[in-house]
Amino acid sequence: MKQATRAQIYLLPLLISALTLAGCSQLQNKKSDKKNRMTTTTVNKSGSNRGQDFSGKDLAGKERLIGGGGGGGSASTDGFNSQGIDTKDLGMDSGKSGGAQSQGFGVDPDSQAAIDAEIQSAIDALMAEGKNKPLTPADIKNPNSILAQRVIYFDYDQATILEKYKPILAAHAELLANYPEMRIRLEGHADERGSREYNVALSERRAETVRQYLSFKNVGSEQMENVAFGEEKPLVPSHDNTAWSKNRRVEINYVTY
Amino acid sequence: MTSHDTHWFYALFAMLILFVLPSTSTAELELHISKSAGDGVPIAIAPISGGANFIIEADLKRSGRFTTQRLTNKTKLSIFGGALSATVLKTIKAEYLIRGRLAKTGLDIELIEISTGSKAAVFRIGHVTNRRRMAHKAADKIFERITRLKGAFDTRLAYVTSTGHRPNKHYRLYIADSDGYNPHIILNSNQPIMSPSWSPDGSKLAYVSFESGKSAIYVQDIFTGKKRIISGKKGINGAPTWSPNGSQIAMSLSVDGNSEIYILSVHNGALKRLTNDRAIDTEPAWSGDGRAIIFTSNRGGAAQLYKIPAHGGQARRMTFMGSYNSAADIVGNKIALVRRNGGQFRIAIMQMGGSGADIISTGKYDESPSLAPNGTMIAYATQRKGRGKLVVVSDNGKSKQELHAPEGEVREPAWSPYIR
Repeated sequence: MKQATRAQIYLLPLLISALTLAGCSQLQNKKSDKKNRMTTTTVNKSGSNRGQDFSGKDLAGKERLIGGGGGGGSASTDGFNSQGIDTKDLGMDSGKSGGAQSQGFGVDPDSQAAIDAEIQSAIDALMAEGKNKPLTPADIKNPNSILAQRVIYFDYDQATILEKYKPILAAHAELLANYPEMRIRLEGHADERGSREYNVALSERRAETVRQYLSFKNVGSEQMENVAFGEEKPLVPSHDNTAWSKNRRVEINYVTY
Repeated sequence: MTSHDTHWFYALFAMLILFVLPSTSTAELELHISKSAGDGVPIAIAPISGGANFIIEADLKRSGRFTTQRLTNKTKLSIFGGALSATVLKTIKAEYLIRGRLAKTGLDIELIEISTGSKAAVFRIGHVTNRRRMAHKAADKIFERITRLKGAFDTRLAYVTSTGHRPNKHYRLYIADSDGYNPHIILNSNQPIMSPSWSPDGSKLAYVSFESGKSAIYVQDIFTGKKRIISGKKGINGAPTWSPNGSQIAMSLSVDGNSEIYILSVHNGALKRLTNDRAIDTEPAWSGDGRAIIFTSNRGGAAQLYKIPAHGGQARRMTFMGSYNSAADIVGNKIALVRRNGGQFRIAIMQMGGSGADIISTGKYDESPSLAPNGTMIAYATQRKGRGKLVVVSDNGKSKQELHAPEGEVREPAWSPYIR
């Protein structure tokens, strides 16, 4: 009982702040997009303050290299954002609340066992709370629902789902099986150790084991899509065990919600 | 007298460029030479108007094969075409002397053998719009004349930078001269960019971009900026690598449920699956003759390098030392790779067919090794104070230079082939 209130206390403000952040980020994204475009057109970047006159004046003429493309997805096969939802930011929300929450319990961050125990008891409390009520899409936004948990973590160089996260996946499976029009993206991630493309493959395996688990729990294969980001999008940008344990993850991101 | 006048003209020109064009580039990498060979071929370099001598000196240094010496005082000896007296030559404690001049027709260079006073080479580098390239071309000729190895200073590096913090991160794909100068943005995105790979003619880059929300492989012409998607399948589209003759691109796809190596024909788009294993198979690299592919697989439990014929067949394990070996890059018989020893990820060099390997890096999380086209230098990514930067090290480990981005992280260097 004490655990339940504790978890609630932490989750509510975190979710609110995460949503606020997401709102801001969209604005800022637009701003920085603009900046990007300007940078792209500024092709003529060269150093002229070193190595005397050999540094700078290569830029006219046919040797010039054209900065182009633009990241806006001009040649893209994008089909994900058709609902007008920024899935990236949604991922950010769930990631942030998941990561920050387990750090926020005030335990020694290096003590993985203590973190695990706290996560477990928070999950138990949430499970107990929502036991008799069927899950609905509205629960995704309810910080007291187990569906607010949308990130699960993995061991180093492993893609096996840890027992403690199965109740979370089971809850999402229940919702998705009852609402077959709902769609999720399973975003796999890895910590920074090891080579980058290997980590993409590793993060794909993590997303895939989650997909298979959900599929086993009656979620339709058309409801799920994997995206593997490897080590490219760490949740915690530092370089230690605590950061790594938060970065080895799969995020469950609701697309059509 | 006329020659003096042209000297003044070029000096004035240099000054103008220095002052009139302020440094517009915030993205230029900062270069630090942290180590250079003390026992290389001793070579003295006389001043050249315009400063080409500094570029030539830096190039020869980073090969790890030369110990350079700067001639500062202007004597007859240091002037291009000046008389060579044996007694004055003896005062220079070096095997070779380089002198040159920047003229309207190009950059003239003399390579003089000090013991004999004879000219080992005299040549002219014609004008190129990127004037630093003229000095790199001169360094290539000097390097080749002395070491009998083809020079690879006049080449390029592609690399990826990331700036900002979640969720406003920016990713950029750059190309620059191989010493980090003259950076140009090739692609700008707010989603990750990965794994640049040069076409063998140096005119295109294949890379992975998440700009559509998930991974896809693109090919972009570096001169026109035109790009096209070559693989946007379900799941992973990763690790593109051009075959040596440019007709095929090897890549890692998970369209069949699990990451496997595939080969795409550039001409007709035909896709052929090369590996079939339940484990991770990724990071293909072509052997120099294009007949074999070396890739990373964890089929034995942990990541190791395996070799498979490019037309298909049995994969054989190649690495047995180190608990993790990955990300091979091949030039000739040299294979650069990432190796974990204890908790450290380091760059190692092994020989094709050999079993041993030399560890050539000293970081904790070194990755993405890329060999210069002549195999004498290796670029790789490392971390300094938690920030990504690039290192270029000579294959003998004697010279090392670091390339930092003024802000954010630099990673995934890809060394271009020879530029035509």
